[in-house]
Amino acid sequence: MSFLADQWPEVLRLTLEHVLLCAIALGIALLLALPLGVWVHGRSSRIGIVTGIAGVLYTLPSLALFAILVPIVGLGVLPTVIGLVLYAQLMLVRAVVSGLDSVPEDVRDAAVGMGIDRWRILVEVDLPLALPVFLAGVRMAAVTVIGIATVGAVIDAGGLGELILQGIQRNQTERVVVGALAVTALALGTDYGLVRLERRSRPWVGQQGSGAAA
Amino acid sequence: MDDARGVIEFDQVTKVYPGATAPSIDRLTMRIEAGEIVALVGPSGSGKTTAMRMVNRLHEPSSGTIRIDGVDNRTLPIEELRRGIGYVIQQVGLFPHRTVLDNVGTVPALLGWDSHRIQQRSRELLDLVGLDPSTFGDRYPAQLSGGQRQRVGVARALAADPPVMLMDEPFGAIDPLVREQIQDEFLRMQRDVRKTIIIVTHDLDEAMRMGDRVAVLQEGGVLAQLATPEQLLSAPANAFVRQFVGGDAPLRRLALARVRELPLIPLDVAHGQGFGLFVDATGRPVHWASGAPVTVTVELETTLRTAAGELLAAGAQYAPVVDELGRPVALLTTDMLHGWLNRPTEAMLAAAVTTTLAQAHTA
Repeated sequence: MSFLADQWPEVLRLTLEHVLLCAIALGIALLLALPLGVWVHGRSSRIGIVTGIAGVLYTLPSLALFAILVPIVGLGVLPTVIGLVLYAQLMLVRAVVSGLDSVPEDVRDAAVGMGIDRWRILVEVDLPLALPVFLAGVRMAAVTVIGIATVGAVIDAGGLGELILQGIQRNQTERVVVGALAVTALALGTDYGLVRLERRSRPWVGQQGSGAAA
Repeated sequence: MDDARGVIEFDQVTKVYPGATAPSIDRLTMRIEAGEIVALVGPSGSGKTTAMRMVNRLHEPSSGTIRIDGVDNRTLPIEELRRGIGYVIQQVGLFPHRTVLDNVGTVPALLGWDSHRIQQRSRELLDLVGLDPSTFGDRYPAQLSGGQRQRVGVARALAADPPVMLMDEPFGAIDPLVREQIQDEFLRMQRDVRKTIIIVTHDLDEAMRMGDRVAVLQEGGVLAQLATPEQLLSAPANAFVRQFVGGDAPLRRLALARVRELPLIPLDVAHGQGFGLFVDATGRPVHWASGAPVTVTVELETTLRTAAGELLAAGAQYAPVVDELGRPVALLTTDMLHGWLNRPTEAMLAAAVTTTLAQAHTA
């Protein structure tokens, strides 16, 4: 692969750009989805409205969504980040809700019965217990965002999509392949990292059965 | 020790759930004394859990008042009220992400105790419920058996030394063999801690074993009877209670007393009536003065139910009562068991007094 030997600083730059783009989008998406998920949790009407809207956004083709945003906010990173944030909402809000659903009812009942206030229950009981299920959703969202961010190159957002786009325009298959492989590697690496994190988020399981009968 | 703490009064408490046509609890009035265990029993739909959960305001009454030590339980801020009431549920509800010690220290931490004191108190309580703190303290709940989890649940409820404890089917999820042992341990512990305890259970045997008094609720959340186990069995207040305690009420009653509680016939008197005993070298009875062999003996600490069973099995009308070394101390006859079951005046009198008092209180 002579292409990589020549162009590796360029590939590295675009990869970092891609990572940054996705990290910013995911970060903002999380800041939005977390309170949103907590707000809708346990109220089916709210869940219906929020996942309804997020679901419509999710089904829009990414290229179309970016195209809609460009006349409003212009070209570049901004519309791409907005688009990615919107895309991730459906998965992330659902992840928060199913994470909170996974908190055992008896644990919550005991917490309320012992006089722990609502805010503390949320922060000290609900969120830590919801974390493993929530992180599984974050993983999906992260992989999706990494993939879709590639399309952002079309509206000048940079990132690894640019490599692929150039390859297509200049008819350089090597560029397309390297770009695609890099995106895939990024997605797989993120996935792996988050799986590790998911496991570490529940140190209290996996050691069951060592207790004798009473 | 402040022994007067923890009196719970239900005053005309009614609970109608939103959308329900009939009340779950209907004008419940009862007074639970400090240091007393009252077991709430009844069929499902009798509102027993609802009644209990109104004490720490997990449910709010539709009308009526619940007072703890004379103070309306709506006076305190709700969290403060709950921190002062121990709460134990069937599924325990331990925090799976916290160690056993941290679980036990939950309420003390909420009350702002310093960490050293919390640690010390949590260890003390694990000891009290029979779990070695250095073995179990740093484990997670998932690493404990069901019985161990339940003990941690009890320790957690006791941590801040609340005068009142609410227990919802606390031993229901524990397998029957261990359950009785844990119940006995709990009763032993209660002798020291003297909490005012409401236990909700669907198991009449458990209610009888645990409760100083038993409150029987019937459909529609009406209190059918609040009485000692003995009164409940010997003088059921109505047809519902009679049916609820079942046809084997006499046997259940026999299980409530021990042989030593009977007016046994002393040996010398028995001897005079022709029930002389010959003993062997170790002092154990071998045969009667009549020459008939001794086929069965009963111990002083045996329940009357077991004693009756042993007499029946041996086909005997009477048997020597022996001490822990097997030496005869008195004589037990089936007539005594019969007589014990048929001493209606005392039990009925007590029940009548309770009813009158309850009516006076209502009026």
